[in-house]
Amino acid sequence: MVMTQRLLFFVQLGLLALLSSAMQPLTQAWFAVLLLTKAYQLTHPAHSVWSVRTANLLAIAGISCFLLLYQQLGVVHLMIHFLYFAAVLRLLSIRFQQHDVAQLLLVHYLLFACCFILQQQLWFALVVTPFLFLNLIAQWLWASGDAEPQWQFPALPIALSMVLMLLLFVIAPRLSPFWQVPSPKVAKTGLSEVMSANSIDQLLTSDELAFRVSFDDNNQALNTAMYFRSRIYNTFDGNEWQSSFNQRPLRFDSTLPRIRYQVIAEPHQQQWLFGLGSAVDIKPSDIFSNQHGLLVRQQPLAQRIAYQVSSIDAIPKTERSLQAFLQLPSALNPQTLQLAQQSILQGHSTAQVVRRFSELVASGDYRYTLSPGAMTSPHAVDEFLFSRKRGFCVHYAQAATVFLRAAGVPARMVGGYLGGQWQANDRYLRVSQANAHAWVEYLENNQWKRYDPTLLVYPELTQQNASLQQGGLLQQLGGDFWSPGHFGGMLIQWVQDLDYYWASYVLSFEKDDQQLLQDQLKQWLQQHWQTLTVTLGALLLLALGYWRYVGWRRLPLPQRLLGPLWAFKQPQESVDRLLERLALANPQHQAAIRQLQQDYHQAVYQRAVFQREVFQGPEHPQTGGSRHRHQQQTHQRWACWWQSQRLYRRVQKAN
Amino acid sequence: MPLLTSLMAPFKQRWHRWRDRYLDKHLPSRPRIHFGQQQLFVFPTALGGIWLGLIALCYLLGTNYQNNLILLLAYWLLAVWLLAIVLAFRNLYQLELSSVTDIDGQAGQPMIVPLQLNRACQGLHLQYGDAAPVRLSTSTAMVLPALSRGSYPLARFKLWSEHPLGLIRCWTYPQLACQVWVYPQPQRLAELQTSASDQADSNDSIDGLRDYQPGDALRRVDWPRLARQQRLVVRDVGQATQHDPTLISATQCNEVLASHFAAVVLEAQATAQPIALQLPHCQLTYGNSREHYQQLLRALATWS
Repeated sequence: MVMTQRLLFFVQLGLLALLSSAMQPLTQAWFAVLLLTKAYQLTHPAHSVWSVRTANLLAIAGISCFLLLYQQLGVVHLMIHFLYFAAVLRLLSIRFQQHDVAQLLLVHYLLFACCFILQQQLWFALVVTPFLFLNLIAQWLWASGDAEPQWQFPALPIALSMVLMLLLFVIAPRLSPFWQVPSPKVAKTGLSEVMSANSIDQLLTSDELAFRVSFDDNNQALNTAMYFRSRIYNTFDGNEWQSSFNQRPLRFDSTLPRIRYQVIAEPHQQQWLFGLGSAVDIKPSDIFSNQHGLLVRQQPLAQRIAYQVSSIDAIPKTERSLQAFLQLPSALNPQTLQLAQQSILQGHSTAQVVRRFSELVASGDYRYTLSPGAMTSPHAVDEFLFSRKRGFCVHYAQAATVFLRAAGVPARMVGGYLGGQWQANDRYLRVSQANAHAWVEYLENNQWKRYDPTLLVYPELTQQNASLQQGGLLQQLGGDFWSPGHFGGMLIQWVQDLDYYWASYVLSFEKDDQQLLQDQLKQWLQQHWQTLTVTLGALLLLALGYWRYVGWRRLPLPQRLLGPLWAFKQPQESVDRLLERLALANPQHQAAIRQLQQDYHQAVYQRAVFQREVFQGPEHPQTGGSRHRHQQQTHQRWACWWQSQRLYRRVQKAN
Repeated sequence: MPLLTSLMAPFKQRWHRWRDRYLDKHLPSRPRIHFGQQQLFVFPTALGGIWLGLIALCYLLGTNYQNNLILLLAYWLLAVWLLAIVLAFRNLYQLELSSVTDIDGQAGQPMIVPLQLNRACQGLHLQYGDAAPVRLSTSTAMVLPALSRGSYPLARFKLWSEHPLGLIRCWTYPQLACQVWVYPQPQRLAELQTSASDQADSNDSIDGLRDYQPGDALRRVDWPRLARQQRLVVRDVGQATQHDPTLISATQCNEVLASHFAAVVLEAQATAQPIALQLPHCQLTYGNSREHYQQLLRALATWS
């Protein structure tokens, strides 16, 4: 039973590492202490396992402590804590009666399922698999009594089970969620409700994956500007912009050309998703398009999902009053307001106002930089536009929005992602947090139009190969090896592509994909049923023939050689006597029977002669001579068998 | 609940009858039993049932979270369960169980039945009657509990295995054609212990012996005494006691006497003395081979 305990201990150690994203450092340390106690128990068998009372007391204490952390943990993480705590205590107080080990094994399987709630990447799944098998092997050992000296690793059953699992995965029906379940707490990443220069600058240097997009029509994609709209920021208080929370679904009919794509979004604990233009057709029904054409999800995103969208390159009209889009903090940024007033006095149209701002930025000595330094004065826009002239997307967009609003043009700031990196021969676009961007939308002739002032200064942003150092941490450690051109960089690339295919084909395998696959299979079967039947028939015949051959091989040698003549043999009779009897009974075949007898003797008894010759004759090297003779012997045996077949037919005809 | 048991009694009886009929048809009493498909029964254990519950729970979790990995886990567990059925069956399939045809043992002492399997089998357990289950490993032997004197065929016992993962149990009820001979416990009686020398001198009929008179039935002549002592004596009718230590003779069955006779036979075996037997159901002449002593003990076992 020690082997089973050891295996279960390693499984729990693995689970501690795998579930670490659900645990806090304090609780992790506590579990580590308990596991160390178990390790001590294993290495010192003299100390008996804990009594059930000790385990129960500790359980009560532990549960109350965990409940205190409820606010921080959330429901899902708390449940995981309870399950894992129960498993560890059970292992510490294990007694090998019927129920203890069985309960522990079942809880372990449940904990593996909980692992998958937390993370779904490919590497994670690959790391979980060996621990799963370890648990299975522990169960195997326990069921066979743990004392089998001839235990061998059940490789074939495990392989068969994986094949069967994939088959069930493709065939078994998929249902929509039965009820709402609490989702685990994930760190909030990406754009938040508040946009300001300070909040976004760290994001712009991070190469963390935000989402991946694959398009149905790559050519169409390559000709579209990759502006992924995520949030709209309306209210400016001088420092930061607040986003408006609007959840009314969109009804937008348009005959404009649609672009179809699939997005695989990483969990960011927010309800806002990413889409080009206005989304019209969205696949999973818990995501909808709100009044501004932005994608909203009913629940914050806590695990990686894939969604399919059809978008049009237009922004829906807004039914609200336009007053919200003209809001400006009073008595701030006087210089900008004055400049805007000039435009109003000159009676500029909206297009002219926009052109005025563009000229201002293009002609002035404006630069794009990610670290312009903190703004000192409360008139941030004035400071940027007229003195500093250094900033990144937020500064430019902010300034443009303030200017437009002051000039009487309804405008709003839009946060989202611009561009990305095409991967794997342009199969999919990888958008990282560094592609986060802010631009402006203004109303002209009752239509919203996009305007990106940053491009005036830094036009390369739209190019979809905006490069950033890949594998930031690795590069810091390993230097040149991990940069894109070198082997390390290619390795990272390959791993990322693998992760994409994993997410695209396995994680987002939906009911429609299943249906598609089944239809394809049906179609293929209909096309190729003839070749399939022929191949299967041939295989079946081969298998049958092989089975018969194997059965024939099990017979003793005399029976094999005589073939059907064996039926004539009496139980107490020898083969020689049988053949003599046959010779007497069928005088016309006497010669053939004599020949058969001779061949039979040679085939059966000559082996001893071979060995004698080998030992006696030093001039015949052992390998060459014996191999030749072995061939001869096989030939004789087959000749004997063939002769007996012919003889049987003749004898049967005679009798 | 006596009411429930009385209500269920006729159904139980029918079930037992059907089961016994099935078993007698497919697992008849044989010295060598081959377990094929008709002889093996396969069903999930309690753990196997809970396993299905675990699969349902994982499927629920995977569907509610729309998480394909948890669904994959559920499907894998189901695949393992299905494979376990096949593996459990194949573990016992085409196993051959054989044993010796006769077992001899003493009453009141457990006996060992050597069993032979034609191939190795994992996790095999055996239970005879109400005894505790025993794990069969390389040394295969079945221990019978203490039985009373008599001759019995070996009863059906249960052979099972929960080999892969404890999910599915595969069991069978073989009946080996093996006869168990239980001879009585040897217990000598003190008053019958007389030495041969005392009898050599007496001539009258105190012990039921008298000289031969012509006309006496030759049947009643004590021939062994003639062969030994050259005395022609005749035994009187109605004497059931026996003074000749080399002849076991009795008419009515008597447990105490049977124990005595068993002790006599065992002692004789130790000294290789020839013993003859004269019982209502069995008569054996003198002999001192091992098989002879075995036959004597068996005759004592079946004496009724």
